[in-house]
Amino acid sequence: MTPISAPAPAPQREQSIRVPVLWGLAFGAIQAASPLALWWLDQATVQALLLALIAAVYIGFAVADGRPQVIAVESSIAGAFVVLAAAGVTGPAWLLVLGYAGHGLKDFWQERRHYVAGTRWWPPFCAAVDWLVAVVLAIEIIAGAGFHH
Amino acid sequence: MTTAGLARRPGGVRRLSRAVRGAALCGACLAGVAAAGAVVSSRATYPRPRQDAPGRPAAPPAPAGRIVVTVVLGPRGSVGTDALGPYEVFARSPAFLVYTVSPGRAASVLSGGLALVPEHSLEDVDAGLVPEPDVVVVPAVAGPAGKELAPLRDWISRRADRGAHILGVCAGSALLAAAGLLDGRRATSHWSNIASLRRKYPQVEWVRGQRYVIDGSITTTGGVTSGIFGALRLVGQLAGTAEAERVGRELAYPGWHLDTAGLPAQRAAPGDLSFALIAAFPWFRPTVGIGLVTGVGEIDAAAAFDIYAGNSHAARAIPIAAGSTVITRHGLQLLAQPAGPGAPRVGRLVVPGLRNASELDPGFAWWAADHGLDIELPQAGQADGEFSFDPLLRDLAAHADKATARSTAKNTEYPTAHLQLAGSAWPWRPTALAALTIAAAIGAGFLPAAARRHRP
Repeated sequence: MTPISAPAPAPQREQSIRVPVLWGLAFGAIQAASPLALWWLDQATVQALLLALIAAVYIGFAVADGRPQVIAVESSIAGAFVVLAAAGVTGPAWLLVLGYAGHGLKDFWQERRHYVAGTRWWPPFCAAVDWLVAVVLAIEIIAGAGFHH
Repeated sequence: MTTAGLARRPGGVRRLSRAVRGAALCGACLAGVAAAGAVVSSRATYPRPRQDAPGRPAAPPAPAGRIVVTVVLGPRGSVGTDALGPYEVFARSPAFLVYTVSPGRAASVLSGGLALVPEHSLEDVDAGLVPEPDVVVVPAVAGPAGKELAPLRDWISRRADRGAHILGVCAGSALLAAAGLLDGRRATSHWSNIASLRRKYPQVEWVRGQRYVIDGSITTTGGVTSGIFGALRLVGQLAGTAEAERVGRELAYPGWHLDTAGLPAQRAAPGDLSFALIAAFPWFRPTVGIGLVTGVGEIDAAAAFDIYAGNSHAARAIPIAAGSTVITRHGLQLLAQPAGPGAPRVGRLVVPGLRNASELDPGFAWWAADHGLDIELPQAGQADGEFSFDPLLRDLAAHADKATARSTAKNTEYPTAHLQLAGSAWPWRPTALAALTIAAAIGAGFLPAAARRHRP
């Protein structure tokens, strides 16, 4: 009998990450452009609101996970990002870049460690959104774009 | 779909359960942040005074023949203008001798962060070390019905039994009601308290829309600045109408007449949303240094702390002075952070009551310049015949917003029809924080469920 070798897991995993990352890049592009649709708000306000939105998602995952320690840790981390977002509304726009880049790192860590259970495709998707938005904001700041009316 | 229908379809029940859980988590996040904000605002109203407060000042000899007034200060905090408004009214008249009393020996904190050294303790009065008061002023105090204030309630009851006039200012009537002194009487209070006081003390006939209500020897007044009306009414009753008219003219409260007791009855309204937002989302507030100078008027000092912080929550107010204490126009000893290397950082320096920066202590002025602070004198532009609240409310509108200035005036029962307010229309800082919290609550409540259901 000819032995049948088991399929290597690596390509499957790469494929499972590739799809959410591509969707994340698409959503990130929309998010980076979203202040154009909300022209009556400061760009800093729009990006701060979206940072708060995505930062708090892990609270929901942690509550579904149910472990008190995970809920406490994730709520604290989300709280820190919301505070950073709040500071970014009126403070330097670099705070928002820091917030998005930092949250991307948090997504990366979650993808590697699976600290919170059941996050499925969210971490790679969110990391792609975060890092794309962080890069776009950094370029805008360097180019001298205004973040406040 | 009915519940029975959902039960037959487990998928529907699961979806409903997810939606309910998401909405509950969303609501919990929002309510949690707002509740935390309310606690922060509430604690900031009466910050703890310094522990190294100096001892009580030596009591001056009491001239004979004067009507003795004591202003009671609560052990956990009192509303500043409630206490110092009547204090200054009585102190402006030579017919009265005024002193402050408090339980215990610690410094007393007033709303917004002002603190002072009470001149006497309740025990001093009981022991006859100071003249027995003819008038007892009771401002709104923290925890009026609590066990901690039982000795204070008993003390006030004893003064009433001895025939003293009692003046309950603003929510000071809650302390009087808790002491049983208002049973069977007509009384008023701050407009926002009347509904709860009616439920808690139905034996009292609570009245709305009055600056003050006199029932026998007990006078109760509406909110905050209404205490000035009540005090002037007592000056008229005890020292004569002409004296009350003189002091009233000096103070220049808009629309004040000796016999005017009515005021528009206030209730909660949509315009109060700005106040609710500021109280629920106090983070990233500016810090305002209130510069205190020797001889500052008691109402000027209390008004600055009540308008910028205590009654508006628009800023954190810190008393700063050339030294660690300041003596007011009529001899009160206020506590302050000395302007020096250890002084806390502030974003602005506002000096109430002063009309000219050259009157400021040179060391204090140098400290301000060294810290890049302009010395702001809101009352430099105060017209003759203006009450001290006018320039401070204009300054609040200019530096915070008009909605906050109006809600602060409503909280202090101060009229604004004569005021030209300029500035931003709405408090955008707490609004942005509320929007961020709502966004975060939606993120926590609904996106994780969506992430589980769908594949990108």
